[in-house]
Amino acid sequence: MNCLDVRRALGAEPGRRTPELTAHLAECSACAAYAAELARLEATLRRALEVPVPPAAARPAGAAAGGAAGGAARPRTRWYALAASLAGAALLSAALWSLYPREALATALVEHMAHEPQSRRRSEVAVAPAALAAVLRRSGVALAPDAPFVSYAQSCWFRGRYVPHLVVQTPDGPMTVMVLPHERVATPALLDEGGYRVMIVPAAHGAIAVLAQGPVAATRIEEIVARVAAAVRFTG
Amino acid sequence: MSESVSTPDQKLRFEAVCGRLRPDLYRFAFWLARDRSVAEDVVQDTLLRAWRSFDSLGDAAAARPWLLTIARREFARRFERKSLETVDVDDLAELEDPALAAENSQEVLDLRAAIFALERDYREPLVLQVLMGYSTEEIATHMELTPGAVLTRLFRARQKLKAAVLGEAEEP
Repeated sequence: MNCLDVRRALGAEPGRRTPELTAHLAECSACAAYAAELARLEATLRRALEVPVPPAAARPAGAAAGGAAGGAARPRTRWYALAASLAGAALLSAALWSLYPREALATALVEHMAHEPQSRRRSEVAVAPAALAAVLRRSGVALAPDAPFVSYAQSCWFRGRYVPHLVVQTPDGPMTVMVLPHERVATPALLDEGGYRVMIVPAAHGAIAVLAQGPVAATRIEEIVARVAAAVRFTG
Repeated sequence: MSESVSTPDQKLRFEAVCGRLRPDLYRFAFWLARDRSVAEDVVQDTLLRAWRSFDSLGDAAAARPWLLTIARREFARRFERKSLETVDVDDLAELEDPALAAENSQEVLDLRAAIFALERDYREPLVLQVLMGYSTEEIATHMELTPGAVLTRLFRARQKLKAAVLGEAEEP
């Protein structure tokens, strides 16, 4: 077994050690260092793959399958327990929302960001107009031609609705724009949450949120918010 | 399994066998789709299909590969349906400006971005091996490949990740 064989074996199955491979590692310091580096990568790889599981996906399987299976055979106590827990959760959620509506919205927006890290990159490539229009149309929204340069557009499931998730390129780097026709905010707000500056403003229908990473000046975010707000048309 | 023959015991058994696997199912679907909302939909559809054919699962120990296989098919079905109406995310590049989520280090975020950019042929066997603990033979069965092809993909996947994160050239 030569060094190339060893590295191919380690790269394919880092956890596997045959006697031949172990013997080679004991004698070859370069391959031993390679194995150690790979082991470090492996630990990080596992953490990277373990993305957070949203509450909806973590709930019991019966919550998904039970709907198709019908409720007739479900034990009554389970229905009552489920109803009580849902009512409790709804009350708690409503209470939190009424106390901290913008903070709760900002937290949900930042959590959503964790699932699309590939979107927030500098880019000079605009989203194809047809693709952008399709994403916007799904939520009853359109963008005027003078909108900021959009490099990413996806229709995302957010708090019970599909909403446009856009990334616009600015001199301060990429900023995320979420158009939220179903959200209501009374006044504009700027919040710092999870490494983001989140600006949420009321719109003609609902709200618009812009998220910038790092210490971007509020005035620079306001400029983008103003341009986006002026360009958004609610058609639905 | 039809609605008329389902019993509370069957539902409890389904929850016991399949419910504990829901996080795995979500993560597998997420890395297939690279999209949270699609992953959640795939999980829902997978569990519904699994419930309808739950009788065909003889051994509870086989539940995970059974569910992941259903999820793979559901994703393929969904991708075929939605490919014309969604934004193309296959042309993903290395992330330049990763998120600063409090619970994750920069290293994790960089690597996550690199995994996002991997082609599905490399991403899927990696997820099955690292997250699901699949053996090479199990991955080969799941992906309908030879074990040799799986080993090659796993090696290349790690090479690509190392190249992306550490800036190293890929080895032959």
